[in-house]
Amino acid sequence: MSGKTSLLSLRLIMTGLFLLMILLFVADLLLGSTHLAAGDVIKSLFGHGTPHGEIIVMQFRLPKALTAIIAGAAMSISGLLMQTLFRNPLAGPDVLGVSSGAGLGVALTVLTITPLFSFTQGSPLQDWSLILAAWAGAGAVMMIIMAVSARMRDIMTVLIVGLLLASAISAVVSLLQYFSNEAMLKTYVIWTMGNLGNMSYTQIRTLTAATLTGMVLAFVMIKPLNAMLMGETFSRTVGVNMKMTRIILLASASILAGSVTAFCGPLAFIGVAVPHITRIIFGTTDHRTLMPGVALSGAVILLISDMLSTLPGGGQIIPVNTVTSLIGIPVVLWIIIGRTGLGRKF
Amino acid sequence: MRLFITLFSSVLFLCSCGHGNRQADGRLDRTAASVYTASRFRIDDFQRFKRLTVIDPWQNSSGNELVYYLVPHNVLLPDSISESQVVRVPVRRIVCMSTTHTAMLRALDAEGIIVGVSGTGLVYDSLILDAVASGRIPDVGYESNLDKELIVSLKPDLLMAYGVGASSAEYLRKLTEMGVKVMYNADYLEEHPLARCEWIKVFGLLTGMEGKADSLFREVTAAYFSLADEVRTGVKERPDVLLGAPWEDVWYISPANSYIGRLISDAGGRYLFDDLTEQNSVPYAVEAVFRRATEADLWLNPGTAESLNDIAIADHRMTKLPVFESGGIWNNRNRMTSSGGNDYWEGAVVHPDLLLRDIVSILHPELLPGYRQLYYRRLQ
Amino acid sequence: MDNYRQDRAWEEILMRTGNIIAETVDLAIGYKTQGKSTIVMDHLSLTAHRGELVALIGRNGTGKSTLLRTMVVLQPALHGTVRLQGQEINTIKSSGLPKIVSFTSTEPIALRNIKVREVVALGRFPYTNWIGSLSADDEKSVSDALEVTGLLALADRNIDNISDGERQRTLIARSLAQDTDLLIMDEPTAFLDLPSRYSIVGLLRKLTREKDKCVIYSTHDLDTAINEADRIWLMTETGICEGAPEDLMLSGMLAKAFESPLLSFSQTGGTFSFVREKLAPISLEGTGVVRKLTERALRRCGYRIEQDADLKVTVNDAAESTEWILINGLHKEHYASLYNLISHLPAEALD
Repeated sequence: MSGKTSLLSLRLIMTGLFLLMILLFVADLLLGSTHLAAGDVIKSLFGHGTPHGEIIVMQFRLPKALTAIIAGAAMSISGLLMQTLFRNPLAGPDVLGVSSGAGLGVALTVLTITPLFSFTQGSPLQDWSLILAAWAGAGAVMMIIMAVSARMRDIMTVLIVGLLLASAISAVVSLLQYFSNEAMLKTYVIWTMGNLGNMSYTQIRTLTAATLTGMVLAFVMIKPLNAMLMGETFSRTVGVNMKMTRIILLASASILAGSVTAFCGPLAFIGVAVPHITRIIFGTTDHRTLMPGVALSGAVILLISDMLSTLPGGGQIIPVNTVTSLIGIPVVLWIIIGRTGLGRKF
Repeated sequence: MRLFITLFSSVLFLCSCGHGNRQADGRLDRTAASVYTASRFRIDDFQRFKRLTVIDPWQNSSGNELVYYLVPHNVLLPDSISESQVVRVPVRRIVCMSTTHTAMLRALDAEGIIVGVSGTGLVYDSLILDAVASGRIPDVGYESNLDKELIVSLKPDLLMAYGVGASSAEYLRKLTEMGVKVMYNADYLEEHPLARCEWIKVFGLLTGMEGKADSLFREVTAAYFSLADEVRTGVKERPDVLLGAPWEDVWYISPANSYIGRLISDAGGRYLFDDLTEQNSVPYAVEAVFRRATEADLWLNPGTAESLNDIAIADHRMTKLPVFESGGIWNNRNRMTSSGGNDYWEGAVVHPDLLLRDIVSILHPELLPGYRQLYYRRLQ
Repeated sequence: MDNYRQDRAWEEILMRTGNIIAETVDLAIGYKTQGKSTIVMDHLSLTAHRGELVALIGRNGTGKSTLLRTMVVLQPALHGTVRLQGQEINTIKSSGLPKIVSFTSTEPIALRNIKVREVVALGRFPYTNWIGSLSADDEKSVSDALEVTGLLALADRNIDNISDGERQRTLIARSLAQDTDLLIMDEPTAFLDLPSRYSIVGLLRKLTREKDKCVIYSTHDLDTAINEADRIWLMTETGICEGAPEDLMLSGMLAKAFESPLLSFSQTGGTFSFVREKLAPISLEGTGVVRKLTERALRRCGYRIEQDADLKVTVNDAAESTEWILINGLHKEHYASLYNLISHLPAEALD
């Protein structure tokens, strides 16, 4: 990094962001969609609250807040990887079609008369059937993308294939919707709205394990990612193994986005918008800063989105995707139109 | 930044307005007495023919009236009435878009005039199912895959439809252009089970069985009120009732003035969300519903759940509810076919008294000891 | 076409003293599509030496980029070998290659928010740890590179906040920071204005002289190449020849490579000029710089200088002013500027 002063300010910003995340985490626990006394909330966290308070905090609010942090961090890192790999400021986790793949898995389970995952009926995995279906769908798409990437030299071809795959899956899902009844449709539509709640602690642990895997892969890629900012030619001449790098980046992004989508449904715009917000906050493109930076920013944004979803009040909620879209779309528009200009990339 | 906040809050505001409380239209006045009778149709008797007016037959409609002249075959039309508004009665061939329509025809023993049904897979009645199996009654599809050519080839005298929104209006208009006579049925929009049942009178007129329809309705109403009175006088406490089921993060809560809300009220129960008077169901956070749900004594209509395990799988937190632990959960899936046909949505429309009986026996078993429910089953 | 090698004896001496830092042996360059190979050029045997500035010149489309990229393993050699520091490139480990040769391509930096120092620091990629942190040695290399390229003052500026020439210097500094004895650059002076071009080539020359580096760069800028490079690799449609710029001029290879019906190459001047069809005779009297420049102008107008011609120009270069006298037969006119003289030359000779 350049200069001691800017290193200090980067550290300050990072610390500030971390503290903001903690603050919002606590706020998310205190607010919720029903009224619960702050004292009760705190006591419940340590097992001394009222019975009702304990259920609300431990079964409803805590899982939701934890999921918001994990999902926000994971989707944002996934988006960052995509933007650098494809040299495109509008790239996000969905360009790989991984979220669509998850959606297809869910559609096949929910929208068909004879659910494809009925083998889980009666087994201990029953409440995982939707998650497994989504994971399988995301995983299948990931395999296809990797195969294409191994054959194609130009990374842009992979991007196009990913987008086409997403469209094709969309068409199939529309077809399934066409032939399903109202109850099934509603179930599927609700899934597409994104949901951070309804996670058991086992599920949270599993999601954490999956996202940690993806994040570790992403972190070891920081150095090549920085080289890739200078172009693929530079990266190759300076010793980056582009083939290996591509595979790891695609795998990491798919694992992160696929896992989050499997557990929480497709979360819109987080992957695209958060890296840009982070670049502006820190004023740098160095992935040594951006990687932890987007993770924290993503967690912050999703915590805020979760709290905003209770905005209508009285227990009513807006879906999480609506909130993230309302935050993300202006950011994307600003990238394209704003002072930064369309010609410049980052 | 300020612009963004303004934009953001206005969009949110608009979203919440969609389900906002609507000022009651004078014509749809919800006074206690009138709620029991159908408010969405009106019959005017002109001696030699009848005029049926259907009012606001789709959601969020206001001030829309559709007029149909029900004229016997041998009667000449006065000049003032155009052919397009006339339905010749008795109708000999009818296509029904909903199983409530087939149920009403069946109650009048007039199922023989049915020549087509939308969604034959969801029919419960065995006679009609037989006719479907033999090919006498084909499935005409619905919405975008409505088989218009098939309908035209069936040469129906009438197609009984229900309106949901602008898109279905589009398909139905196409049918009218193709020469099929379409009548809008607004029964599902009626707020009270008796009001919904009263639509059998329309079918009575269409089939020439007004007498039978009237007497059926009278019987049902009498039975209903008799039971409701019993409840009102005999009941000391009203159990709290929870409705619906969560899906992921959201729980769609029906308003108090819905079909099931009224049934619960008449059956001597207190709906947990009786303060909610919206037009449509409202998305709530599961946390918010859970709060009230801890007070529920009974839980009815939990979506598609057929066992306690189904509920546990859908949302494990529900197992912490007292009503779950006491096993007071009932669902309306007792009378069903294997392909998904449910008599709750079919036959029960014509027998709201039996439906009420079911619910009374659940909420106040002491009033109907030993009663075996028709449409409801306790979840195990 | 056979390879055209100048002064083979000299070559062999240098080989024996181990001064060759890069060489190609019977190299064939080209590309492969769907298993089929297309050779752009073959039988290339070239050398470059330590401390040498090598300019690769040739017309567009002859394959200059392909050659350079093949030398750094960005593209596969279709036949033959490339040796860097005496080792065949196929045997060099991929982690070792960046420490032997650095490559600067024509790809521009598409970022905004990155500082000059950070760009240069990326040149230390082969040496830094897993996350890319710079050690004290790395920082020193970066500072040195910035100093040599004269960018210390701009080190903390954003890359989009400097001029094109400075941006090019940044890329060169980055190559320097990579600490290789051989630097290969693809068109480092493209799109730069004249002073910038000279300054870049001057910098490259400084690197070879002061740091004993070998720099091989491709360019379209003949002037700087001919005047500053120690060695030229001249690529034509049929093959390549190498040597000192003057060698290639003497042998006529340079002229042959670039001449066209429109252009002719002046061996002594080392420049190209348009071929003039009609050349009318004119006599010129005068001395010094003014005479030379007047000659130039007359030539541009389509005249050739002869001893005795009907048309005569005399230049009087006095202390206060210069005067041109045009004598056409019996007419005699004085002009105070070359421009005026030319405008009054007879019409049929003017091009």
